[in-house]
Amino acid sequence: MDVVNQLQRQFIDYSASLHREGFLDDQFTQLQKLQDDNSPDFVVEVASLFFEDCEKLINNMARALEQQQGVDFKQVDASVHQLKGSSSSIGAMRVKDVCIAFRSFCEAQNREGCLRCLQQVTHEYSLLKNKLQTLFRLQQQILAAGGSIPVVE
Amino acid sequence: YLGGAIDVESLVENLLRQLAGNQAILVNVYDITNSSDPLVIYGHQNQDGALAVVHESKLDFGDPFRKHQMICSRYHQKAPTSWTALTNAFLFFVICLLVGYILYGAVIHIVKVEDDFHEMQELKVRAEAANVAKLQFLATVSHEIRTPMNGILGMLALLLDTDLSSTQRDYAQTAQVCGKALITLINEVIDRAKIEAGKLELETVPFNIRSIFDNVLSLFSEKSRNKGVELAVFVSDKVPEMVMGDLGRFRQIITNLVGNSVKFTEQGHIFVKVHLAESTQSVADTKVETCLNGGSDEGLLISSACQFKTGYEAADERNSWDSFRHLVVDEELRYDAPINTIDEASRGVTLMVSVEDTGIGIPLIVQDRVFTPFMQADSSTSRNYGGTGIGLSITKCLVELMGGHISFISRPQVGSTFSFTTVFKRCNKASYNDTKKSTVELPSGFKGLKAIVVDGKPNGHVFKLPKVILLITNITNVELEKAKAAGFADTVIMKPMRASMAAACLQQVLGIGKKRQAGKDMLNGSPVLQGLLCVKKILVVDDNMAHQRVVAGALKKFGAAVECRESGKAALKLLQLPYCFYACLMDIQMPEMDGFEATHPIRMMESKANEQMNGGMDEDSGRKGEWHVPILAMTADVIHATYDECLKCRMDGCVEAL
Repeated sequence: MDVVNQLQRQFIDYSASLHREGFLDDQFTQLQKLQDDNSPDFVVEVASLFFEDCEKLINNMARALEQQQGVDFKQVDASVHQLKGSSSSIGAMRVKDVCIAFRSFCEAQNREGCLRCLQQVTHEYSLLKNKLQTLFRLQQQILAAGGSIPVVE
Repeated sequence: YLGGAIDVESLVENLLRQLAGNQAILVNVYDITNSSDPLVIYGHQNQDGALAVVHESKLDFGDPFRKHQMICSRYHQKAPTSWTALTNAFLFFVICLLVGYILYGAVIHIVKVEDDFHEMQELKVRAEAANVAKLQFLATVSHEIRTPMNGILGMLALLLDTDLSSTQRDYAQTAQVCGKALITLINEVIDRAKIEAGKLELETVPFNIRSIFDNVLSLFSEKSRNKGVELAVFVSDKVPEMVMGDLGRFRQIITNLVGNSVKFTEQGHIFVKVHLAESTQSVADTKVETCLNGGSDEGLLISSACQFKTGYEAADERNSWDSFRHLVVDEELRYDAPINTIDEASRGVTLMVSVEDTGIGIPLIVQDRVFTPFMQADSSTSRNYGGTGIGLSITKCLVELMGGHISFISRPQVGSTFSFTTVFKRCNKASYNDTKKSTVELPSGFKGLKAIVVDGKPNGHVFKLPKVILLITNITNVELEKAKAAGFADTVIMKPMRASMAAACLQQVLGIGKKRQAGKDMLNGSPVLQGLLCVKKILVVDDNMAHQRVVAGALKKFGAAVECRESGKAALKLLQLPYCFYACLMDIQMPEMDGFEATHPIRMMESKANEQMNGGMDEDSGRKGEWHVPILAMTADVIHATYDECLKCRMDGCVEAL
C-alpha cells in the first residue's frame, strides 16, 4: 500500500506541476473525467491521436513554409487551425497559444514569423509529448501496483 | 291746696331710681343722735362691697333732739361681668364666621369646579381630535414609508440576483434583513393603530388549521433546528379539518407566539397543542403511566410521540406527557361516539391552543405588564433578543377580537406556556370543496399504515416502518452520509416534522404514488441528461481525430451511441432516409466538403421527401412531412457571420468547439 500511496502522490504532484506550468489546462481535467470503466484508456487514446495529428500537421507546415517560390499561407493557416483545434480539445494550452500567434503571422504573411512559430510549436509539442508520456507511465505503474488513479481537481 | 299724704320713702326710691339708673347708689338715712350706733331709718341694712364714694349730708327734720344724716354711697366695684353672655357672644360670633367661611368656600369651589369642567371638556375634545389625528398620521406616514421601503427591498432583491462578490453579497443581505425588519415593524404599528381605531375587521374564509400550523412551523424550522430545539405541533383529531375564520390574523397570532418561544428558548422543546375547548376538562386528575403509544390512522397525524419531555421541565405541569397521553386516549374513545349533527352545525368551534416552551421564562415582577404595548421584560431584552415588544399586545387584541381569551403561565428559567382560545364558525360543505385543492393531497396509499414512533433523546431517533426514516433535530452532512452508507436509515427527515415533508419522504421511501423507482444513486453530473440521450444514435463528423474522440467520449457519457466519420461525403452516405440518427454534429472546417456544403443536400433530400408525403396524402405513415434531422455545427470560433451562415444552410444551431 505504501508504494501505491507514493506513486499516487507522485502522480498528483506531477499533474499539479503540469497544470501550473501551463502545459495542460482545465480541458485535460475534463477529459480525465470522461474516462471511466467503459473506456479505461480514453485519455491515452485521445493523446496518441493528438500526437499523430501534430506530427502530420507540423510536417505539412514545414513543407509549405520551405517552398521557395511563394509560400501558400492559406494552406499553412489551415494546418495551424487544425493544430489549434486539436490542442484545444486535449487541453494543450501552450501549444494552443503558439498556434494563435502563428495564425496572426500567417494572416500577415510573415514568413520569418511563421518559421519561428513553427520552431516553437515543434519545441512545445515535443515537451508536451514527453511530459504526457511520463504521466501515462505513472498511471500504468499505479494500476500495476493495484491502486486507482486519483482524481486531480 | 290742702296737702296730701305723701309716702316719702316711695318718692325717694323713685327719685333714686331715676337718678341711679344703672349704677348702684345706696342711700341710707341714719339717726345719729347716738353716734356710735346709727339707727337706720331708711335704706338697706346690708351693704356689701367697699364703699368708695360716700357722700354724707346732714338732714334737718326740724327736730331739735335728734340728728339725722344721709349717706349716699356708690359702689366702685362694677357689677360682676356676665361671663356666659360674653362667651355666648364670642361663640356666636365664631360660629357665624365659620358658617360664613364655609358658604364662601363652597361657592368658590363650585365656581372653580365649573371652570374646570369647561376646561376639561375643551381639553377632551382636543385630545380626542389629537388622538384621531395621531392615528391618521401614523397610518398615513406608515403607509408612505412602506412604499419606498418596498422599493428598497425590491431593489435589494434584484441586486442579490446579480453577480456579486461575497462581501457585496454579505452587505446586500444585511441591508435586506434590516429592511425586512423595518417593514415588519411598520406593519405592526399600523396594525396597532387600526386596532385602536376600532377599524380592524375580521374576515371569514374557510381554511385548514393543520396547514396553517405546517406553514408556521416551516417558517421556524430552520431557526429551531440551528438552536437544537425540538419543535412540534399536535392537532387533536376532534378539531375539524376546515373552519371559517380570519386566516391571516390567526396565523399572525400563532406566528407571534411561536416566534417568541423560538426567540427565547435555547434548549429543550417548543410544543404547540390544539384541542377543542371542551376536552381539556378530562386532563385533570390523571394517574401517571408511561409506555409506548402507537397507532394512528393516517400518516399525517403522527400524534403520539412517546416521552415528549426532552428531559426538560415545562412550566405548566398540566401539559406533562402523561396527562397528554390520557387526553389523546380519551379523545380516541370519544371519537367513536355519535355526533349530533344538528347541534354542532349551529354552534361555533372553540379551539384552545397552547404554546409551551422551555425557555428563559418571564420574571415574576414583569408578568402583569406583559400584554401592554412596547413592554419588554427588561430594557436589555431588545438588545439581546431583538423585537419591539409590540407583538403580544397585538396578539391579545386579535384574540379578544376573535371572541377568545389569552393567558399564560411562566416560571423564570423553566419556561412559559401561553394559551388562548378562539371561536371559529364551522365550515359548511359548499365552501369546503373550493379550498380542497390548496391542501396537501396525501396519496390514499397512506391510509391503513400503522406508524410507531419511538422518540428517545434529542439525537438519533428511529422511526420504524418497514423502512427506516430518521427523525432528527439537526445533523451535519457528514453524519448524514455515514448513516445512509451504513444502511442505518433510508432517508432523513429534519425536525420539525410537517405533514408535507412526511408525505414526501414516505412517498420517496415507499414508492407509493409515483411510478419511478426511488433510491437509485444518481451521478454527481447530470442525472437528467443521462436519460435524455439514452440509446440515441448521434453522428459526429470531424476530420480531426483527436477532436472526434473527445466529442464522442463526451456524448457517450450521456448514454448516446456515437458514430464517427471523418468527412462530409462519408457522413452523407450514412444520413439517408429513413434516419437512424437522432442528431448530427458537423465540423464546419473540413477539407473537400465542409459542414455547410454537406448540410445542403441533406436538406434538399428532406424537403423532397416531405413534399412527396404531403402531396401523396399517405395514410399509412402517421407522420406528415416531418423529416428533419437536427444538425449542429461545430466550430472553433462562433462569430456572427458563421452563425448566420449556419442558419442560412438550415442547420439547427452552433456549438462552440473550443
